Amino acid sequence: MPDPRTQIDSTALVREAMGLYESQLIAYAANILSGDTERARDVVQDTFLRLFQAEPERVRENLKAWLYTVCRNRALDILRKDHRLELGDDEKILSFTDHRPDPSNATDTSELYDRAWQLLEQLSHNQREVIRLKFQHDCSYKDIARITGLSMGNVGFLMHVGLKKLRALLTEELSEHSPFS
Amino acid sequence: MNTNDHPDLTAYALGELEAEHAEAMARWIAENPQAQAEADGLTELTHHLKATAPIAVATLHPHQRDAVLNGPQRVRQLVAAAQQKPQRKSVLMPLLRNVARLAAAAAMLLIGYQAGSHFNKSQASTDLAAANPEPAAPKAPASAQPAPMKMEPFKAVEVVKAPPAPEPATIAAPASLKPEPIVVAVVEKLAPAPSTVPVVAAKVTSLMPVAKEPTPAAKAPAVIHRLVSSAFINTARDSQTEVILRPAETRPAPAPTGPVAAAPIRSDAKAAAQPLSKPKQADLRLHSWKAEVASCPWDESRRLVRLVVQIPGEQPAAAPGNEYALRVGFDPKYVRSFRPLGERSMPAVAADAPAFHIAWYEFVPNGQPADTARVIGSVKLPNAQFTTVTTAPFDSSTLQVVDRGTAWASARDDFLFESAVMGFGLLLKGDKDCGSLNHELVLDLAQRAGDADRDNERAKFTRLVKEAGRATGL
Repeated sequence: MPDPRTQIDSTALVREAMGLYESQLIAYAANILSGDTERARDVVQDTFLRLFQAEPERVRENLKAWLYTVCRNRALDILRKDHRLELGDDEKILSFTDHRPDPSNATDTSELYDRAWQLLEQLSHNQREVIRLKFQHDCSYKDIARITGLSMGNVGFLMHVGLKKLRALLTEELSEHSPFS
Repeated sequence: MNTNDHPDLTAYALGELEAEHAEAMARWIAENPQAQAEADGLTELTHHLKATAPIAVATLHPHQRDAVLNGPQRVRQLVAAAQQKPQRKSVLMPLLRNVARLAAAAAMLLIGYQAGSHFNKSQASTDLAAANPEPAAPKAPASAQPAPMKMEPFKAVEVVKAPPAPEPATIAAPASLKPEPIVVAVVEKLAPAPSTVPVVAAKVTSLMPVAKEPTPAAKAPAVIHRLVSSAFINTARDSQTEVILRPAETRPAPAPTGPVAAAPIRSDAKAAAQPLSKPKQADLRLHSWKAEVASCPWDESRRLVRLVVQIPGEQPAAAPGNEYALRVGFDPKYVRSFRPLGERSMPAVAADAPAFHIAWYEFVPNGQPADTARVIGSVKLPNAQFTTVTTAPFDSSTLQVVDRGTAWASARDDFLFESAVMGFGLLLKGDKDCGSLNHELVLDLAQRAGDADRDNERAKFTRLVKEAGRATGL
């Protein structure tokens, strides 16, 4: 028989987690699932249900990392089942990416920065993920390492290489849009 | 250190370095203009990334949110449901129980008869006549006419009367049959016999072996299964079907209030509980509902629908006789024919816990399933209202059944496991229209679902299927 006190703790914890991370987790899962928000919702629902089964005391300290880890694993499970998981296939990613700049895009640097999130799609899966976790989900390197199972050194390296590549892409776009080019 | 190409520089720009390391890096950058420019560039990019990060706005659907917030009750319910599940049911057990009861009754009768005979033979003419003042018929001859010859006609009556008054409550049940109500035959005399013919009646009384045991009515209601598999219905002819929800069946059991007297249930008790004129039934309260669709494991040309409805166990609608029709409709554009496969009702285990109704359908799609999601049907539940306040406008009276083209191998574990259970039901029923369904497939489905469930229900089911397979020589 479950301990009623644990049940109360779990309920409070889930409510807290939903209040803080519900939308963020759906966005994160949707990114992994190629933008399928409905499936992302299912994944997040499962994540919160699993939170009920976890021991509140163990999870509470690293709640955010725990939620993102479970959410990520569940989303990857779905991709695996769909045989759609292709990690690190940069060439394939690039082949499906439209490299043509958006005609409505202005050449102003600050506006080009607004395209940074679109250009992110041209990075590898791992690079995209660590950048998203850092800037969209406000995770620290430590959190990202926990969530992805990578070492902190790997996270730092992926972040560094990803941002560098992103800057290069932005610079390339800037030069293409320059009236002097 | 390469000034432009080192992860530490990025980590510094992102504020990820330890204080000591960050101070050293700051000093180094201050002395190195190239590194400074690099750090500035990174800071500008990260600033923009943070500022323009997509804002997450999507939230869970109200029914999903409700399912999550009722998680603890759901888990408790599942655990209790597993505990309620009887151990493997044997076909022979009910028969053996009945035989045991009859044997016990016969033994008691025989013992009573022999004791009475023995008592009569040894003492009837002396002690009993004096000690037992009534009835008048045997007594009078015994006292007034002591001649042995005149006592003869009354001997048969005394066989019945001779033992002391039986005390049914003190009859102990045999240890081996203790959990079951024991049926004994108690011999008692009816009205004083007008003649010398012995009048004996056997009154069957059901004695509970231990008064502390709750009566069956006090036990938690069992999970109700209904296998309703039937022929396929062409949607061109009829695209609607109904699942009848009876909330009274899934109410939590009342807590036992103490020892319960052993009394047979009156056959007209249920009828007496029904009001003569049926009042307007209350709206059904609904926690959440969900429909999942995936391909059919035993026939790839068909698809399965699993419909789950979660309602509060205790609610005004849970009055006896109340029925709510869950109208399931299939779109003929996408569904050629369909048939209901089965239903499962899981009662609530406590007043504040939810009850579940699960219905399964099999349908033949029109054409190939598409990769994109499409609405193949809808579920309507009139006279119902959700228990939660919705966070977004949506039609709470209709649930769309969306087919995303999911293959059964990609379905959720719950879906796989329950499809195994449904498949097993079809096998037991001897359904002829079940494609390649066999014990192996049922086992495969159950094993794919894993056995990581908390209540071990899946492992038990797998064992059961294996045993059934062995029993049938497979």
